[in-house]
Amino acid sequence: MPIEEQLLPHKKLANYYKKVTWLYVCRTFKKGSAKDAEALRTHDRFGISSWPQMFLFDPADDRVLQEAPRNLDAFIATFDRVLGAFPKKERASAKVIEQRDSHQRGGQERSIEERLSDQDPRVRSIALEDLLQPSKAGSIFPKVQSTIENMFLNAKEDIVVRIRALRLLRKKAALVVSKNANKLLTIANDPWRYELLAHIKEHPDRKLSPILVRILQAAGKEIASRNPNVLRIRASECLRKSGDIAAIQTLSDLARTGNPLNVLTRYSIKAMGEIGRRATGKDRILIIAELIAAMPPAALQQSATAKRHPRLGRIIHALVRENLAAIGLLIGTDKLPDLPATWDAASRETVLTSLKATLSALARQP
Amino acid sequence: MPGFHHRLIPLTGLLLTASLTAGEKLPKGPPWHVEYRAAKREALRNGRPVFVYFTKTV
Repeated sequence: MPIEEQLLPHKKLANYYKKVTWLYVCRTFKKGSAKDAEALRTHDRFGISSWPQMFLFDPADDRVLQEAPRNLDAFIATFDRVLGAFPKKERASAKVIEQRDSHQRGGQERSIEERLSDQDPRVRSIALEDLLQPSKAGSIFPKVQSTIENMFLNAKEDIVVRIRALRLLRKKAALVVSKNANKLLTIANDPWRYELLAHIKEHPDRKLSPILVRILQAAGKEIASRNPNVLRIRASECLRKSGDIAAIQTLSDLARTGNPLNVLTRYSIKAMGEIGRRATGKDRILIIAELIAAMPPAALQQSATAKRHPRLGRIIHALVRENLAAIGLLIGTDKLPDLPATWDAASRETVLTSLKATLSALARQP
Repeated sequence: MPGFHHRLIPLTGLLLTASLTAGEKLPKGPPWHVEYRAAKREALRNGRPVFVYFTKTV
């Protein structure tokens, strides 16, 4: 059901207009827009990275109570379930609400140190956003570095503040981020993890391989994520830079069984090639064998998926090219068979026979 | 000055359209808040949960 045209305006939802508070947030991606900056803070708070999203949260602690489905009956059932379990009494006194609004007491004219220590996380967030401006941090940063490191590391700090502290430390004190990346990747917020993964990609560290592999295996399952595929894609990019043989089985599973239309399938192949380049001896032979096994089946081009996606044939062909390029890194491009013009059963057989012969010869070498 | 008014109407229409684009067009129906803090304040005062609809401009 189209969300904006049919679901949200549906008259059956009028019963809930006064039982629930309705919040509409829209990213416009306009540079310098205060409204978009506010929307981004809300997105970061709830770990959003894809749209649209609908859910209910508890205003006392921002805890997400339930995701809302797009089907009207299921949507209403979700509201009933949440309201049934939600305490009826008033949740906060006027005094508490006043304290939460403390940001209204002070403006941008206060010193950065004062704003960074304000009790309102929104004020601290905006102070950090100011420091993130190219001309701002300069001479101020050394004076506030320890405060920002505490914000970054403190598990009780507001997540929106922590994400901005992380962004600033990436620019100004990358070592602090690298030293703590392993334990901080476990925080269940996608914008936070994306930022950390971008850092790890820039500052590769082999010690992080186990947690990156774990993200590939468990994102969207034991590792909660609103966008597990993108999380896996970003982890695979890090493994391409720093992974070792321990990552190969997981990457190989993704390369063999992944949907060709999913970027992750291609990225897994790329990562295997780069890891293979860093490997030697039997490890490298094993990776070549895994890449050969990950060559897409020719039958895919006649599948039901192919009928729905007219570009699938070209995408599979590009995947074959990617796979051959990865193998070429490991055996030398001069030993590669030619890329066939089309990927059918016969051309696949020709390519695989050639590659397997090269692999056997390599395996026999002392 | 009917001619003057005729020229104003399409101009006003254009301005309204501009102000309603780029994520300003709320879905019809619910009494939307567009700001997280204001929504939270209202929800806390009334002891309600908050429903969020996140989207982006196309």
